[in-house]
Formats: sequence, C-alpha cells, structure tokens
Amino acid sequence: MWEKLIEAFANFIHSSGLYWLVENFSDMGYKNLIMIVVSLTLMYLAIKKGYEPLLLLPISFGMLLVNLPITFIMEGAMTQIPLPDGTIFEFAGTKIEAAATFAADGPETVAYILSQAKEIPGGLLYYLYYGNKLGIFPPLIFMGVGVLTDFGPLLANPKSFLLGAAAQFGIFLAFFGALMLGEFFPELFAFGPKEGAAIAIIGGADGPTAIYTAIKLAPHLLGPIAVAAYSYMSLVPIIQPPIMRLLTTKEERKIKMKQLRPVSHTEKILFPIVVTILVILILPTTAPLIGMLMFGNLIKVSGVTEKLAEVASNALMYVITIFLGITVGATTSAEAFLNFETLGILLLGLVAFSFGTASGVLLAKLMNKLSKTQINPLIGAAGVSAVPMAARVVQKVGQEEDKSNFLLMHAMGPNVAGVIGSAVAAGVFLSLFLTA
Amino acid sequence: MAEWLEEGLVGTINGVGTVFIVLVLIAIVISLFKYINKINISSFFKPAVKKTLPGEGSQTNDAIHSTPEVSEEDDAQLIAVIVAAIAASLETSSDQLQVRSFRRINQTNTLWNRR
Repeated sequence: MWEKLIEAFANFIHSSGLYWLVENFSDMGYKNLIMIVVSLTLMYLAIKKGYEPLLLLPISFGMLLVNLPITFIMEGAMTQIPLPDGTIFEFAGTKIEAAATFAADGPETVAYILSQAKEIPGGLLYYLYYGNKLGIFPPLIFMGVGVLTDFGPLLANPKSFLLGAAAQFGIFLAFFGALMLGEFFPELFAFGPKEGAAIAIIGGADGPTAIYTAIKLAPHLLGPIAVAAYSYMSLVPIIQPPIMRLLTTKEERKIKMKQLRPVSHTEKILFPIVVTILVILILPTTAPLIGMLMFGNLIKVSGVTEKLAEVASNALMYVITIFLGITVGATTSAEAFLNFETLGILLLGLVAFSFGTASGVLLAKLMNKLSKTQINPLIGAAGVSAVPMAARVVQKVGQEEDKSNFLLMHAMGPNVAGVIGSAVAAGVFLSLFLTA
Repeated sequence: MAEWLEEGLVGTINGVGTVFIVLVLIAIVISLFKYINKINISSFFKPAVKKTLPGEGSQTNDAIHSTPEVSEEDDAQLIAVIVAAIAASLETSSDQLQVRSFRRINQTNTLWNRR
C-alpha cells in the first residue's frame, strides 16, 4: 500500500507542469518562462498603463495560458489507436484523419482504426480559435466598429479620402522592406510576399484588418503581428507627434480650418450603401471587411434598427473581443514568438506606422498649398486610422501651438477614411496573393 | 530584375494605385452628395420613425429653436426636475451638477415607449 501511494505521488509529480519545466528547462522550458514574463509585462501595461486594455489583456492572458507547459489548451484532437501487442499508438489528429493516413494499409486497417481507436478532443482555445481561423471574428468586430464610427466629418469633407489613402503608403513600404529582409537574410526571416503583405498591414493601424489579413495569408505569424499591431496602436501618442512636428512648420500647425458643413441624414444613410457597392464591385476580396463595417454603420444611421446597432456595438462586440483576444494570444507559443521573425515584424510595423504618418502629413501639406481653403497638415497624420486615437493626437499637437484650435472633427475625416483605406489595401493584398 | 524586387514593385504600384483609385472614386461620388439635399429626395429616405437629428433639415431645426410657448418659470421647474433625476441616477446630489444650457427637442417617441 505504501509503495502504491509513493508511486501515485511520483506519477502526479511527473505529470505536473512544474516538473516539465524543470526537466526541459535548457531545451524549451526557459523559452516558456520568457513568454510568461512577456505576457505578465503586457498584462501590466494593459492594467496599469491602460494600453488598449480591451484587447491587450485578453491577448496577454491567452499568451500566459498557452505558455504554461503541457496544458494542450491550444492543441488539436488526438487519436489513440490500441495496437495488437497491447501498446497504444498516439496519432495527432482526428480519428478520420488517422484512418485516411493509414488508408494505404488496406481497408481492414481503416475499419480497425474507425472501430477501435479513441479520439480525444482538442483544447478549449483550439476550438475557439476556429472563429479566427475561419475568418469570422475580425469582420464581426468590424461590424461593431462600423456602428461606432461617424462618417459625418468624412462626408462633409470628401477630400479627406486622399489623406486616408496617402497614409496607407507606409503599408506598401513595409511590404517592400519585408521582401528585402526575406531576400537578403533568408536564414533569419522566411518572408515571402504573403508574409510581407500580412506584416505590412500592421501599418493600417487597424486590429481587425491586420488579424484578418494575417489569418488569410500568413497564419503562422498571427501572434507576433497582432501583438505588434495593438502595441503600436496604443503607442500612437508617442510615435506620431515627433514625426508630425518634424514635417510641419509652426505656422502650418497653427492653421485653423473652416467649419465643416452639416451633413444630412439622407447622406449618412446613402454613404454605407454606396461605399459597399463601389468598393466591393472593384475589389471583391474586401467584402467581409468593408461589407460588415458598412453594414454596422447602416444599422446605426438608418435609425430604424437601434436594437441591432446596440447589440453589434456592445454585447456582441465584447463577446467577440474576448474570444478573439484570448485565442490570438494563444497563438504566441514560445516557438512561434521567440525568434528573429518577431523582431523583424516589430521593426517593419514601426516602419509602416511612421511612414504612413509621414506620407499623410506630406500629402496634407501639398493639399494645403494647392487648395483654396486652408488645410492644417497635421490632420494628414490621422489617415493611418487607429480610430479615434490618431485624431486625438492631431487635436493635441494642434493645441500645443494654439489653444483655440480645434482640429478633432477635421482629423476624424482622414481617420475614418484610413479605416476604409487599410481595408482596401488588405483587399489588394488578398487579391494578389491569396491564390498565388 | 531580381524576383523579389519585381514582386515588391508590382505589389506596391498595384496597391498604392488601387487604394488611391478606389478612395478617389468614393470621394467623387460623396462630393456629389451635397446636391442631394437640394433635390430633396430626403423625404423618401426619412425613416418610418420620425426623429430629430442635428442638421436633419431646416423644418425640424426651426421646430427645435422655436418653443416660445414655454415660459421661463416653467423652464426653471423643468430644469430642477431634470437635475434631480440625473443626480438620482448618478447617485450624487444636485448641487454637484450645473446646467449650462438645455433645449427641447420635438421627440414624440421617447425611450419609454420605444421597442
């Protein structure tokens, strides 16, 4: 009896994560430990510093869960096949997949596997992750974003669309950079056009768009891309102002803009319908993102579906945010995250963000020179999207020069145009590389 | 030309080009929107439930600004009631709140009878 007790205790110890960590420390364990520290740091930033807490907190917690050893919480189904000699063969996959794999051994083997093997379901987050894998969650979040977005400032000043487009330039520069890294340092960065496109979309400063593109083009890089995208979005107030000040003169920053014209209800209703038809006719690949964004907006502005708008922008969006965040976090296992590619992604994301800001400001400067009405070049920076943070940054930088200058509404135009712009950029990449 | 360079250039030119073309196209269509108000098809798109939104039309705006039948004394009473209600819902006292301005909107269907 005593021996049995000791044996049971030893088995218990051996099956613990702590034992695994000690046993495999020099091999894998230290990496898990680093990732746990990273996840705790992100949690600290989310809770204490308030950096995008709605997403960073679920992401960091998913990161923690998946890096605590041998939880198999992100592992798929497993099939145990009892062999004639009494041992058990473990196959990573479902029973059907096991049968298909051994189909060459003849129909008896298939029948044996189907009748005798035992399928053990995968982990919790593995199944929740399907909402990402199948491309469902990001467009649903976009629907909520659509409800919360007011396209009024954009309707009042359609020129803002140019700024929203210009700020996407950073995306394409980062795409170029990714291809270059992949070409010159192939042993460190396995970046082809698909990976490059997925990474570059970080510069769109739009979480759902970045995640959607990454899932479609480079799912193995989803974790680092999502973390980089949300980290940089929360760092917008730090990244953008120096670039904005560098590229504008004091006089330009002081420019006061003409008040926007009022926008009628009819225009607001027509906008999402017209944009949906126009954009999706030109770029069918944008249908999930633009379609849901505009649908969300329509159910709000129509005024007849308040309850739908309320659910889409509150309850539903928060539910999806939880699932999306925690499962995106769960893709950041140590082996997927701790490598040079993550560093490359962080670097390229910063390039995309900075050059997007710069190109937006530069085009706004040019427009100010050419246009009859004055345009404050600062509002170009809001074109990177990151709604509404980038617009608030414009307001703040503008007020540093002149307390009585209110640029917020003027910046909201390029800001929401940037959302459409980055979705279009994502659509271009998808149409170029999804089948290639 | 090196393959990566070609791929990069094709992706970039294609991408920047498409983004600009699509957004400029939308901008052109949207800039035509301002004529909508002049042709007055807006009555066609008015939602079944009549609501007053800021800037919806001159007619409703007039209705908002012209409420001459309400006397100032009534207003004072109304403000007192509104402040008390807001204070109760915020769980604070009414002296913590300050009413800077208030206006009546012609909203016949209130939150209470909406479904």
